[in-house]
Amino acid sequence: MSLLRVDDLSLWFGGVRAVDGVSFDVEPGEVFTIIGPNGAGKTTVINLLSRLLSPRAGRVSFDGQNLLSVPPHGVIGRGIARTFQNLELFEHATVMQNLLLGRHTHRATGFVSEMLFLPHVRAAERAHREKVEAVIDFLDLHRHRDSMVAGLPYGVRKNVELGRALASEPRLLLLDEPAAGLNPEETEDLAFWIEDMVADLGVTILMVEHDLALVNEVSDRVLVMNQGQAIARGTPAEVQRDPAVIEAYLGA
Amino acid sequence: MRYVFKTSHDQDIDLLRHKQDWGWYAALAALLLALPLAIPAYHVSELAFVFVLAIGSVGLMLLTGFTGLISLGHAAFLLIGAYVEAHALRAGIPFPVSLALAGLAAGAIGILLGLPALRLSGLYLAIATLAFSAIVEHLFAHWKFLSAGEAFLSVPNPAIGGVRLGSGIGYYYVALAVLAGSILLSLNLLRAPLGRAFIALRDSPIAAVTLGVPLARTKATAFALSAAIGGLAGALYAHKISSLTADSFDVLLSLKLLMMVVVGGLGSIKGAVLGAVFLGLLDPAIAHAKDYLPPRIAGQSGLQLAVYGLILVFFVLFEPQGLAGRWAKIKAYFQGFPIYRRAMFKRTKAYMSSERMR
Amino acid sequence: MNGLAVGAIYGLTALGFVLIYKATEVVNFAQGDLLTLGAFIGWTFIVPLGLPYALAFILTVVAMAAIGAGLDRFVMRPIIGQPHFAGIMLTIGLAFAIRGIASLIWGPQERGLPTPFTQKTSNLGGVLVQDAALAIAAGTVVLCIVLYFFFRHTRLGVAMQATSQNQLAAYLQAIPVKSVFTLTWAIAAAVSGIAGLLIAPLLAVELNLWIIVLKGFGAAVLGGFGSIPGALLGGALIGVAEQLVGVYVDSGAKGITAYVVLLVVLLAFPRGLLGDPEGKRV
Repeated sequence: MSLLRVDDLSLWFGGVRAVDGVSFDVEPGEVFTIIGPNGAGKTTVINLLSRLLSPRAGRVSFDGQNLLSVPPHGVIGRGIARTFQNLELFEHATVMQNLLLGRHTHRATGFVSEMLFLPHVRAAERAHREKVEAVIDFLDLHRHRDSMVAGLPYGVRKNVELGRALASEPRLLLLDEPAAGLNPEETEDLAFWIEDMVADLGVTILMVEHDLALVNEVSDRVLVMNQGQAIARGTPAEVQRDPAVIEAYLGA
Repeated sequence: MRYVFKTSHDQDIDLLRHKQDWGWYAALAALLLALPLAIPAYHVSELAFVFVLAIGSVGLMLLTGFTGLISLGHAAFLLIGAYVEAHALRAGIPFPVSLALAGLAAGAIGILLGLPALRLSGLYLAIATLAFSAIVEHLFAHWKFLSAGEAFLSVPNPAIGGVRLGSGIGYYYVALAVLAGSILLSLNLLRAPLGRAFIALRDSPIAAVTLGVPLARTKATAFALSAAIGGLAGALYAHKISSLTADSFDVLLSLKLLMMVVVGGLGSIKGAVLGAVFLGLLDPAIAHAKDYLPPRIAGQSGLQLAVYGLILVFFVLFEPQGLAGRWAKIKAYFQGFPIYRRAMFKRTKAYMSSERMR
Repeated sequence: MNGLAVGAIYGLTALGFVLIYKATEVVNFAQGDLLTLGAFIGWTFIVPLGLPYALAFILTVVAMAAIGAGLDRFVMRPIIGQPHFAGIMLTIGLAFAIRGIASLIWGPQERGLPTPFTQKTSNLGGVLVQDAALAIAAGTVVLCIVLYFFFRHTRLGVAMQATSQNQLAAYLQAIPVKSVFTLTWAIAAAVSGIAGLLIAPLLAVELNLWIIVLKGFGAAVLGGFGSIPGALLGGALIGVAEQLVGVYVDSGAKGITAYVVLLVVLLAFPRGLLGDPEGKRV
């Protein structure tokens, strides 16, 4: 059974059809990429899936359950984490604190016990930190562990955002242009990490991307969007031969 | 910079990074406990007042410095705490319970304010808190029921085992205890998930939501806690002024609280305390300065206002990290001497991303 | 009628900070104190210096514009780009500093402002109306017309509109954005100064005039913070509401009417009555 089913998803603002009848499925353990020219509605799809926006029409089901009835802060509880195109980090907190916030969905302590810092709160903290250490190992963030996020280089900041999403132990990871702004070495690292995430952590990935080399390297299937509509789908090779896709990118 | 070689998570979780710091704080505690026995009563009461200010400052710091919710009318919570304390004591309720009631009452009203807070953006929220505070002050000034019909509501001075707690040395220790408790609670919260959730709300509510932080509940909790601590401060403040009128809790008091938080350094509990100390020293300084100024510069309130305003402006422009930031820089200078680099504290300018839809 | 007059003043105050907010995204908590300052400066020209009203008016406007420009150039400019909180704290500090300094310069006592229309009334079709209120109405209308033409039909005005909509684009069009900010502050201060001059004959020249800023907030919020006509409308609404409450409910409650209205409106319409398109694109 597909992990994520999107059916006829639509959202329009006034006369603008940001997302127009888009349908696709994402299978567990795959890397599914959405590509398309700017303004195609790709980020809007991500925002719809993370419930920051509500569609005008369509159905979305995750793991067999309706996702559209979930409030925005409940999405991560279902196992869906995301990153942002323009990074939404907690600037005035350390990398460690950002990553620990990724664990928030696994919070099992109440605020009264936290105020008193009872022993089970300390035990929970240790457990959270253990998990975060695994992420720090995975993304090689050791050096920056206690640094304030605000001063860090761009590539590191992207990693922190990725790490924060990973710390929540998601089933599905929504990545919005993860390679934007990265140099070739960093993009290579990203490709390895994506493959490792799927192989070792069992994460399914749905990403929006422009870097076609990366897309070719890691994606299992690709969906091409243009002006809100899905115009082609298939493997990266199939999609790049599709005349409709070629026209969307190069023509008119 | 002192280097910490970490071998366990507990070192990160603990309140203090370096073992030696426990010694410093223990010495400070000993000093504060012993002080009333050595210095004149006047200074004891001044110091107790600084503690009370600090309690209010810690409360506001949690809300504004850590959760990023600007409250321009925090005096309202102190007012509520003060009046509840007065009425409770007058009704015969024993002291520690009356204090707790004051905190709870203020906290409950805080939740009330926290609920609309969800839908209002930072700017509108600030204005709403101002309006709320004005309304509360007005109600307490005019509603006979709340003021027990008297222009000045007198506050009983409770005693336990013969020791007066509303004044003198007893009051000092009570204030110190409540301050220590508030600081400890706040520090505990900040190293636990809820405290981090506050910071997340401040820095990026959108990301916070996608990480599972329930905006509504968290904002309400922040308001409730901050208001409750403010209520405790208000209850203690009531004893200091011993006869209550709603005027004592006006916009000027809200401004003083805000000043303490900004001057101390947003995002730092230490800053909250430093800000209170600063203000505690400032008022007497202004009063003394009046003696040296020409009589034309009369109107105590005018001079105070001008000084407060100018200090606020000064700190925002030149010391954005507040006294706590300056303290950290000075410490780093001495610890790193002679390798201290000024650039170490240079914050990369985090530009405000416009709140407007493009 | 008085309600509308006072409401017009609230509207003008709201206009002042909507101008600044639209251009710089900073909320100017000192707007009310600028109004007070305008009243005091006007008083200084008229009473101790004995200048004729018209001259005093013009000089006050110039002085206020200069003060507004100075405040922006030296106090607000350094924090361009910093998060909203810095701006809010700064203008709050300015508000109190101005009030304190004003009290030190002029002293805390109330004074009246002698003008051609203080304490005089006229008969408008059988209704007795205070001349000062008429002056406010006239002044507000004239001011709005002047501002309308300025923003629509002069290069400077259009440049200011551009800046308020998209700073980066304006900058790229060789519009000196920082200078536009300074100009905005000058205009907003002048508007508040005029408001102060207009309200003083009706109320008094005194320090507590700053409270008007809070009502001004109410007006601006009611109108939706980005909207100039909204601000004026909001001001009028609050002014009239206050009068009605004062008459029909309880004169004590008059004081907090504005705040209650403000809270109620905010709770029902978190974005103001006429809407303020705020929101972040992720």
